[in-house]
Amino acid sequence: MVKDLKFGGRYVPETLYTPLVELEEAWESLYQDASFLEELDGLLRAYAGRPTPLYYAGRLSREVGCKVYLKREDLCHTGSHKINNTLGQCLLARRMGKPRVIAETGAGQHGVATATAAALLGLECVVYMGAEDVSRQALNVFRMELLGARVVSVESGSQTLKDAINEALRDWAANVDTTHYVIGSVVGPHPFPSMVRDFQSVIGREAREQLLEAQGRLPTHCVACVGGGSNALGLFYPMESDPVEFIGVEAQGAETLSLRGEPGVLHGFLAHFIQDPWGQIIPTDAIAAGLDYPGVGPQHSQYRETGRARYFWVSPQEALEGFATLAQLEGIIPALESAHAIGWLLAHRGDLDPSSLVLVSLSGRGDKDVNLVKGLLEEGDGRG
Amino acid sequence: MGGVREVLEGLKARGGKALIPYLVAGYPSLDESMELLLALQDRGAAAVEVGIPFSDPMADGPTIQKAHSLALEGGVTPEALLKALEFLKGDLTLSIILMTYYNPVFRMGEEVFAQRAREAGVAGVIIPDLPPEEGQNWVSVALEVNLDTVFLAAPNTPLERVETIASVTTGFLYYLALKGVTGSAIKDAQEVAQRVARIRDVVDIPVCVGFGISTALEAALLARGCDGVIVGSALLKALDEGGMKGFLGLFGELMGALEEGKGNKWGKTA
Ligand SMILES: Cc1ncc(COP(=O)(O)O)c(C=O)c1O
Repeated sequence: MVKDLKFGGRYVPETLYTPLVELEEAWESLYQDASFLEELDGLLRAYAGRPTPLYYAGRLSREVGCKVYLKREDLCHTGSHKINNTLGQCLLARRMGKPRVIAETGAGQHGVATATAAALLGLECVVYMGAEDVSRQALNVFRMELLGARVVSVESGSQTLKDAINEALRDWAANVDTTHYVIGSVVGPHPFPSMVRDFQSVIGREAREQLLEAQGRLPTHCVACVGGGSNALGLFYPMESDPVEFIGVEAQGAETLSLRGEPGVLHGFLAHFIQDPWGQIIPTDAIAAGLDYPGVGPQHSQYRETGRARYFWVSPQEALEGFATLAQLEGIIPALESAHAIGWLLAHRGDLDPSSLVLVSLSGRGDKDVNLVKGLLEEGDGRG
Repeated sequence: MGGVREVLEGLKARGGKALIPYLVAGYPSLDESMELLLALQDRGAAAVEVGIPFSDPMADGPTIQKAHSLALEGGVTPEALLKALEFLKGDLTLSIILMTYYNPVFRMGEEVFAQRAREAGVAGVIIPDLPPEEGQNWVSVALEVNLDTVFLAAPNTPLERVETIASVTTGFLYYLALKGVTGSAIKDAQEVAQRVARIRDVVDIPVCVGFGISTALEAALLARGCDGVIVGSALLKALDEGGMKGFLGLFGELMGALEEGKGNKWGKTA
């Protein structure tokens, strides 16, 4: 496992320091424990629906001007890649003897995935969600409650995802003896970014193999949307030493690596964050809740600094075009987050060499977004 | 103005204990924060903790969170605070300890921050989200300009680690009475006191206890076994409810309890 990056670290209150060391030890031993990996693999297959298909999007390919394959994480149980991570972490929590898990959530995807894994494994579950998101996403709140989780509305700060993470960290500090914090992306203090990356790497491992089988060659480009960066890193990481170009797509309003983030420290790690000159974090404004985070996982910061990956942002209009185009050309309604990756591709129609082989992470399905998109399209300008 | 450690040791030599109040710079306004500092000094405070407001105060409970966000709405910056402190430098003889999350320090640059703090007469800095492992550079930067470091130890910190933490601490060891955030309730002060006693066995720098101390009884009981107690949320609540008078009223009450604690009412001093 990669360690001692300049980015990352463990910038946490002392109460969390020792538990993080214990978590790292637990993870390092379980990661090599055949029975743990077998149990996880079994759940991913029988319960989450892995391996997910790799789908050749023929009509989209003709539109874009080169071959495009979609890695169908939208077909996972609960509708996104988030379940790969929550099954892994909840299993880990159970192995560590922690009967309670907590999570943060923005729109509710990660909250639902955590509540689902907790229900499956018989763990108590509390999900922190910004008060604004609670009112915007009432249906997902109900869904989590159906799954037996308790949803706590976070009234502090900007009342969105970053504040939900603060509140989850506060809960964790108080209850760390009994509780594991199931963080939702490749963010947070070490070992979370590495651990979540490892759980999500199943995306890239499968896709690499599937594409080699289908096309006899590696992709030329991997494209994925980036909130915290877990579906992107899960796709990229297994191809890190292959000659493949990595492209991360952010949302306008949360352009951490593509435009306005600066190195800083928040939520226990050093990476790029959107902040003012005094280091105060600035709330973001992305149309996709899952991309609405003012920072990015430390490994993406590292990729950007070394040039290993490039990052771009996509406007709401471009994302909506991705949303509608994928629905109409392929009969797939993508999550608004994933629609940003499609939107980037459409915006580069004709720019890519016809011999390119593009692999896109379709991180989730769009049922959750249909209402929102309907409103945005009726408004006509694509802005909420 | 002396270092934090000298102040605490001076107090100790006279048989006293420090009551270290916490306030948030710019809450309710920077002017009022400065008035509070002077008033606390008049009332015998030897040291004070001044919080730099931050957008994401993850170690703090609701009372202090609210103070941070209102202070930020009022436009307070680290620079504005340091200027105000510098302006009052001649009048302030109590030991000023800044409490700041790491990002404002990181953004300014550790060297610049330390230099500016020293120029403003600050004696020490507490950075609650900077454990020693991430603070190696900070420790040498602070040493360079003669600024005291204050690191924290928690109820779940193993004793060997407490020793490591103490070895890079030049001001005092900040012992957390509880796991969790500021403003939570201490369940059993007696049990906290026992833990503090074990900590004091392994370190030879001053130890102050904070997080969750809200009553005169808790303050006196805990002060008995250490060098000082830090009170934040309870004072800010008093400020919310009764303005500056409320804050100073509770401060006076707590000071009284520590004074009495020196005698027999709460038992023998350590
Ligand atoms: C479908 C989907 N894609 C992407 C994301 C963004 O997260 P990450 O960047 O960690 O993959 C989310 C987050 O909620 C999501 O629900």
